[in-house]
Amino acid sequence: MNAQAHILLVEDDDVDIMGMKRALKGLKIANTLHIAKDGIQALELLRGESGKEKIELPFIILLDLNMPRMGGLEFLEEIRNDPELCNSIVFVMTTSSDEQDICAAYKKNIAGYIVKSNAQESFSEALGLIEHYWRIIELPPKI
Amino acid sequence: MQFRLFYTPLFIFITGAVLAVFLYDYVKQSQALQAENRFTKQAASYVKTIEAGLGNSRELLVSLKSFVANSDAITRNQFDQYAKDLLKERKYIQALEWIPKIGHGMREEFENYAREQGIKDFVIKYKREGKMHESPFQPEYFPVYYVYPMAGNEAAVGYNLSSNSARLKALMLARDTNSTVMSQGIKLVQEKSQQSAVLMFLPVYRSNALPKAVSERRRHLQGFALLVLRIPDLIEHVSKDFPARFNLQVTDMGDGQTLYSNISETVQQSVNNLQSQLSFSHRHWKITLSELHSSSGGLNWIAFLAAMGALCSTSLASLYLYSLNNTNHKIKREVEKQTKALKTSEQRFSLAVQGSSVGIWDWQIVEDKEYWSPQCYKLLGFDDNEISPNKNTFLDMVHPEHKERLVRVLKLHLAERKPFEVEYLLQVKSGDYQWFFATAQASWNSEGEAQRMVGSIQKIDQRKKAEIAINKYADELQRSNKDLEQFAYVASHDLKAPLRGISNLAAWIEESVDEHLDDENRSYMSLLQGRISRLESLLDGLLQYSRAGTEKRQIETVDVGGLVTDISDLLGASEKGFKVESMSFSIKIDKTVINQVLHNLINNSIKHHHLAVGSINITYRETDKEHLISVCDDGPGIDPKMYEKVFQMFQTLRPRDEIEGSGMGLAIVKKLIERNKGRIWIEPVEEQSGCRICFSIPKT
Repeated sequence: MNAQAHILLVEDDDVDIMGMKRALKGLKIANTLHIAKDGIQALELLRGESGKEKIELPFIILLDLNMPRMGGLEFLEEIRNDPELCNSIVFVMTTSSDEQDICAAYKKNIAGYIVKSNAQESFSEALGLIEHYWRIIELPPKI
Repeated sequence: MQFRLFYTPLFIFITGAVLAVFLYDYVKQSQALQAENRFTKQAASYVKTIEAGLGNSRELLVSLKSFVANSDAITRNQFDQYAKDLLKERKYIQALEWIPKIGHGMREEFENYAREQGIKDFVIKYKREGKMHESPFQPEYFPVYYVYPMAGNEAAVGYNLSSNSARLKALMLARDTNSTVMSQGIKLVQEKSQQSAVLMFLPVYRSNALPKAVSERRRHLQGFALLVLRIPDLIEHVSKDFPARFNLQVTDMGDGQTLYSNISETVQQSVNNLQSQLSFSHRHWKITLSELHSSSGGLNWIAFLAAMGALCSTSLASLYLYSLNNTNHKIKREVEKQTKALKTSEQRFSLAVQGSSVGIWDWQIVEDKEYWSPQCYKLLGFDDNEISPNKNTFLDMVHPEHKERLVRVLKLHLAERKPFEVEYLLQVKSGDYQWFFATAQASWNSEGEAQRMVGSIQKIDQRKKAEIAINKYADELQRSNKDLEQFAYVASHDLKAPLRGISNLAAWIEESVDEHLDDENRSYMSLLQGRISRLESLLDGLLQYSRAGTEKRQIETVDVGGLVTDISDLLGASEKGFKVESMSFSIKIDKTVINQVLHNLINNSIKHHHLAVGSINITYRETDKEHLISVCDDGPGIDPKMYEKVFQMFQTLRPRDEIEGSGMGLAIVKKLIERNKGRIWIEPVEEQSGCRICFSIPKT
């Protein structure tokens, strides 16, 4: 189920991107992975702007908070105010365990807040969780 | 000083007293004079009255004479009848008598005739040694023949008047002068009361002739009409209708015989007396008159009252003046006292102003007049009165940035009576701005209008500048601390991301080359991962430390006993062989704070324990101001030399290769406690190894 769901990873750290790719590979998840280096790129992909191909529904966004140009919280603000994107499913994956960040993110209706902990297994664990999630959860249908 | 009060009143009193004495004397004298005048007038009038009484009697005599002279022969009855008509009620007249002249040749015939006429044993008699005898020979006899009234005068009948030389002399004088002659005083023979009396004779000439010459008168003399007058009775009679009474003495000047006297010897000598001469019918009387009631000896009441009146009024006047003086004096003294007190107070103020480092100013708001104390000028760098003390001069000195605030505070004080306390910069004479502190107090009238304002300025330049510097340092310190915390946060946060990358990459490399690694390289990889995780834990600790206490505090009642149980479960204490026990108590505190503190302390006790089993005790007691909590373990304990050091950042007591630790646990605890205004310290545990970490939380 939801095998067609796209994954949009919004992350500026190349190592983290590599780690995500390795984890997906290790978990044998074949869903299409899109990469955006910051919030602006992510919005372009979601809206199909600047010559980018628009990501089709259904999709899941994995979002880092600390990024150049447009951070995760600003990005959340943008999509929640966008009628087309407001119902997107967003998981925050970040190194920040700051309570203020956590609270601010949940106010933007995220599906979950995952702290990238010190162990390298965190990606696999987090992805395992997400896989379970979308296997069980009904995603919003295509309009 | 005190005596001066009495001077004028005393003077007035003495003057009054002297005046009273003089007044008494004057009134008395004028009274006396008045009395004397009155007396003199009355006395003269009295003498005239007596004289009139005598004159009245003489007229009777004249009538009797006319009656006798105009009758050729008068019988006794006719005489008696006429005399009776004349006398009427005039009791002071003893008798009216007819005295015929009898020549010696006619004596016997006359005596016989008289006896024939019914006068028994009639002889012409004379008086010798108080007794009547038959008269011896005389050429002429003047016997008493007719007498009216007879009663009481019987003895006089036949008595020859010429037998007495003095009487004879009077008779002859009357005969020769054809006038009434009054005799000297006699003692009446008829009278038992021995009254003085006088006789009045009036000659009767024959044929009713009026002879002019003395010889003719002698030849024609027929006899005498006689009137016996009782002087005391006469005086009493005339005094009866007279308005005044006198002490009176009547003395015959011829023989010095007192005819009348009502002066008793006890009567004092009178001031007012009158001596007068009364000449009547050839007789001269000395009349001495004096006041019956003398006023000289006693108190003259009118004069006394006048004097007392004068004395009283001057006494009152002097008393009034004294009281006036006294009041005046009291007022003066009070004024002097007040003046002195005022002077003292003024001096005190003046000394205080001089001695004080504070400059005093005084602003009369209504007149807009100002006074600046010398110290005021000195503080501003000027000599006394070098500049005019007024509002504008002062406002010009105020730093432009402070002027508005000063004016605002001043207006608030004057209008709403808010305290006037302000610090400002003033430009002193040298041109420098210096800090001053000003306080002032206005006074308002009943309408609430400010009348006056007195205040002080105080130079606080050094203090203020030091304060500004300190504040600057404090601000800088705060900023620097904040920067440091921010730095720690950012550093730990930002450093973690690449560290994670390193960690991941190392793991991936290990995965990729696992089968080619020898044991040595494998141990290197293991060490690399160990160092990476230590660095990560250091960064976590640093992050935790920098965040500690920055969260918003939420004070709530925390059940600490329950919290300890939760923490020990979380740490898996019992699985690790540790017994964690706590007293059951609750305190009001931010739960995250107490949670972290106890978590760190219990975790430390477990982590650093030298044995596989141990026990940890949390105890609680309280004072008035603080909650005191201690965490006590039976571990290896801490060297007292390290008590201070263990609370510093990154401090560990043993190498991190033996026990992994960030060295931040106690530093975080200390920071949290101190952020909550508490204290933390370590106490050794008696009788066993281990340590007790105590901390206090103030009661809010």
